[in-house]
This record gives sequence, C-alpha cells and structure tokens, in this order.
Amino acid sequence: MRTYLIQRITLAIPTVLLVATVTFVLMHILPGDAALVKAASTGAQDQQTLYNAYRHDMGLDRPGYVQFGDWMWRLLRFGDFGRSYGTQDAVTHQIITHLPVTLELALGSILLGLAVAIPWGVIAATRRDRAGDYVPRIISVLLLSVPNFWIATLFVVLPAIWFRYMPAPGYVSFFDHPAVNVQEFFLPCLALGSRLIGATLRMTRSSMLEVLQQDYVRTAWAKGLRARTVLSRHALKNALIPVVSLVGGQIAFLLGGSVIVESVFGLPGLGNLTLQAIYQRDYPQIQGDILLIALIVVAVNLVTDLSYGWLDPRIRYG
Amino acid sequence: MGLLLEQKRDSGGVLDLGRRSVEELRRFTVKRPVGAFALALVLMLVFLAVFAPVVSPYDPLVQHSDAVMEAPDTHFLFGTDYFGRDILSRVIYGARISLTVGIASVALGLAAGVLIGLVTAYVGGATDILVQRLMDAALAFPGLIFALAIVTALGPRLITVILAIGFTAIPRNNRVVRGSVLAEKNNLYVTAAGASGCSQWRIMWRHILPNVAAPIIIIGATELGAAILLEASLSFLGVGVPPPSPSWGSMLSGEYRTYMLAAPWMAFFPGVAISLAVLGWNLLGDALRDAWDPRLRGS
Repeated sequence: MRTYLIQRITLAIPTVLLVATVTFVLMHILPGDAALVKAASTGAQDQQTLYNAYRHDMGLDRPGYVQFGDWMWRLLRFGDFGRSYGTQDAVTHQIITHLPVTLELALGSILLGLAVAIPWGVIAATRRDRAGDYVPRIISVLLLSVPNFWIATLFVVLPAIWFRYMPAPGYVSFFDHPAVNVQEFFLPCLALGSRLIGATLRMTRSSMLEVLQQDYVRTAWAKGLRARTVLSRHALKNALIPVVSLVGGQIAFLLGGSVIVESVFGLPGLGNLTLQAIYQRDYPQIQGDILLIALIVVAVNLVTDLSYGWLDPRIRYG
Repeated sequence: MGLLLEQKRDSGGVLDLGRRSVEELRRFTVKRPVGAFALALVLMLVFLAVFAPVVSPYDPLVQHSDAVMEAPDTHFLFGTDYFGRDILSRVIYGARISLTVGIASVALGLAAGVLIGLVTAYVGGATDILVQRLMDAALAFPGLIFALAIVTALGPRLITVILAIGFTAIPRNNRVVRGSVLAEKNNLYVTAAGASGCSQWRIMWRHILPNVAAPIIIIGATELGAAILLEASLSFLGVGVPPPSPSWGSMLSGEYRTYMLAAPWMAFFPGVAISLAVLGWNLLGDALRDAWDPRLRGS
C-alpha cells in the first residue's frame, strides 16, 4: 500500500509538471499578450511606447525560456506562483480567496448527484424494463444532453417569473450564515451536477443489473435476507466500483463547468477568476489556476483508485 | 447457397428495391425505436442546416422593428428577440453553425486521435510512453477551459472554434483508439500479414484500422454531441463564432440575459435546440454501440 502510494505520487509529478509546461508554452506561443490588453484598455494615444513599457514591467520582453525557467524556479523553490498582472495581487492569494466557492460548488454537486442518482439507479435496476426503469433511463439520457448553462439560465429566469424570487446578490460564506449559504448554492450545485446525475444514474443501473445476476446475490436472497440488506450490502457495494470511477473521472468536467455556472450565478469562485484571467491574458493567474486544477484532478484520480480497495478488499495495491 | 437465393429474390428491379428498403426501415424502427428516433433527430438537424434558407420563414438577421420582443404567435412561431429578429429563423440557421463546427472539429479530433493512437499503440516503446504521459497531462485539463484559452488567444472566429474543440477531443479519441488497437494487434491476422511481407504501415492502415472502425465510428457520434455542447458553451461565454451569426449558445448569453425576464421565450427555444441536437447524437452513439459492440451495452 505504501509502496503503491509512493509510486503513484512519483508518477503524478511528471504529469503535473507537464501540465505546467504545456500551459506555459500554450499561453506564450499564442499571439497577443497581457501588455497589449492593458495598453489597449488605457485608450492612450501612443500605444506602442505604452505596450513596450508594460512588456518590460511584466518581464515579457525576456526570451521565452528565461521566463519559463524563472517561473518554474520560483514555483518549485518557493511555491510562488507569481503576481497577477490584472490585480497585482499574489496569484496564491487570489486562488485561496476564490477556491472555497468552487470547492463547495463541486462537492455540493457530487453529494447531490450521488444522493439522487445512486438510490434511483438501484430502484431502476430492480424494476428492469418496467415504468420504474424507463422513467429514470429517459431522465438520465436527457440530463446528459441538456447544457448546464441552459439549466442554470432557467434556474435564474423561471423562479423570477413564477415566484418573483431573486437570489440575494453577493456570496455568503457557509461559516458565517450556513442557511443563507446553502440556499445560495443549492441551484448552482444542481445545475453543475445535472450531467453527473445523468451519468451516475445510468452507470449505477447498468452496474447493478450486472451484479444482481451474480450467484452470491441469489444466495443472499435464498438465505431469506431482507431486500434492503441484499440490495445495499451484497449488490450495491459490489456495483459501486464503476460508479466511483465515473464520478472521479467527472471532476475535470465539474471544475470546467464551474466557469459557466459561477458566471451565470455571479459566484466569486475559481472558474470566474480563470475566465477573467483568460480574457485579460493574465498569464501568471491562468497558469496558477490551471496547475491547481490539474493537481486537484490528479489527486482525485488517486483517491478514486485507492477507494477501490475499500470497496473490494480483494483488490491489493503494490 | 444462401447468397444465391438472396440474389434471385433481389432481381425484381428498382421498384422491389424501394419496397425492400421501406420494409427494412420499418423493421429497424420496430427493433430499435431509440435508434430510429435518434436517426430522425439527426437527419432533421442536417435537413434544417442544409435547407435553412428554404425552411426558415424570415431572414435571421432582419430586424422587424414593429415586432420587438413579441411573444410567440402565428407570425413568429418562436417569438422575436430584442432586435425584433425572428427566433425560429435564428434557431434554424443556428443548426448550420452547430453542425459545421461539430462535424469539422470531430473530423479533426478523430483524424489526429486515430493517427496518434494507432501509430503509438502499434509501435510501442519509448514514443508510446512519452505520448501517453502527454495525453494523461492533457486529460487533467478541463476541456472547456482549454478551448476557452485557445479561442480567446487566437480570436473568436469559426476556424479557431473548430480548432479548439477538435484539439480538446484528441486525448479522449486517442485513448479509445489505443485501447482497441492494443486488443487487436496480437491477433493472428496481424502476424500473418507481417509474415506475408506487408510493411508496418500497411499492417496498421489496411489490416488493423478496418478492424477498429466500429469503436471509432461510435465515438464519432458521441463526440459530435460533445462538440455541439462545447461550441454552445463557448458561444455562451462570448468567445464562439462572432455575432451577428445566430449561434445557439450566444442566443442565451450577453445582452439577451437582460431581457429574458420580460421575454422568457428568448431563453427557451435555443436551449431546446441545443438539447435536441446533443440528444440525437448521443442516442445515435448509444444505438450504434448496442448494435456493434454488445459488450459495452448500457455502459
């Protein structure tokens, strides 16, 4: 187990470094830069002089490999992501202030998704090819096709029209006002998690169908165990591995989707931060954000793989 | 023998052939109703895109100044937007952008994914390991953020949107192709082809590729749904195909949002269009998978 962990973490390091490199190269080979955006935003007469001055300030007039080496060195040596061109604030500080919103959004979507999809998937599997099966199947296919920004839009528009309900503007931390915070996050989480619900529902159903045909499930029924015990203890736990793998794989999609959901609901999270940074060509901020997202994805993948051992004790790591 | 009989029955000429395809279509519909529904959705999408000028009641860009933000009625079936443009016509023309971007980007993503996946899986060795690490790294990027960065940097145009979306699909396609090729390459027919003097290149393209065509076509359909979704998302964030082109995603964003409370139909129809288009391709992908690859059924 320990060897496995060390091995996996060692393997993750080149992946994350590669992400950092690819992001850096991508940002720098594409035309246009932050100095250009900043110079244009001033509307000054002499764009060229201003542009050159900004380029020098930002260190963009140095050769690419020097910039890369400098950035990498600070990152590895001091854990320093640099300063945002836009806000002049440390990238790390920006991330720390924006990350909780996105984490809550992503975690909320996952919890909501699992709470809805897993029980429903189990029920669908036990009612194979009857109405109780068709309805969730149709709903899961629909949820996989409806864009999350449309769901988010409807969540904003419909309550306003039907109930004259407008969410209170501004973000409230869970630790200050839990009730207000949950109210604020419920619809965004549902919009972000819609696709996850569809995918999980579908996977739970098909995985359960397979497990329910196993001999040990028949034995469990034959022993006269209650349906509840057979389904949850004997069948579901064994059916969960592909489901967990699916949810773990959706994390990158959730973090990407947070860009859209946060912008629709006006939540100050990592997605919104990254979106603004991309518009402004704010390299240090984009690089920091993407590196963090990649780290989260890689970490979640590791946790996903480790959870297999808990779900199925036959799986050994090493 | 069976083949001979088949041919004899076929000799009825064009009329018989027509009757037979109708019969086959009927059987297909009964046997795979979901597949038939998906096919109908996709064909409708293609039809609307191709014949947009004929089908749409108005020019999608013409502003009917006497009918601004009019609710759906007999003149404007889907209502009008805040410029007085007919939403139905804009939705129909939107199918063009959606389908153009979808098909072009999927073609790009599949071509690159197949090339990389086929060659690295077949050749193996250090190249394979290096490319795999690169693909793993690419999979840790959220596709939307990646595409967003590319389009913003290159400037929002049709071609950059296509490039960006095609790019994000490469690692996924590569993985599917790689997996299938790895499963195929130890088969006897590959050894036989090698023994009979075929070049590596010929073995890859003429022997292995046709045998992994089914999974490639299946992901092609599913990826088309994903591409349409991503195009709409980019347009929604304001970095898609630029206005005044009627893209479904941009019809739900920007200034439109200010007027949605007063004219909710503006928020409704483009969303339905995106959902139906994606639904059609997703279901088609499912139906193809059920038909060709029963092992993957329902997954």
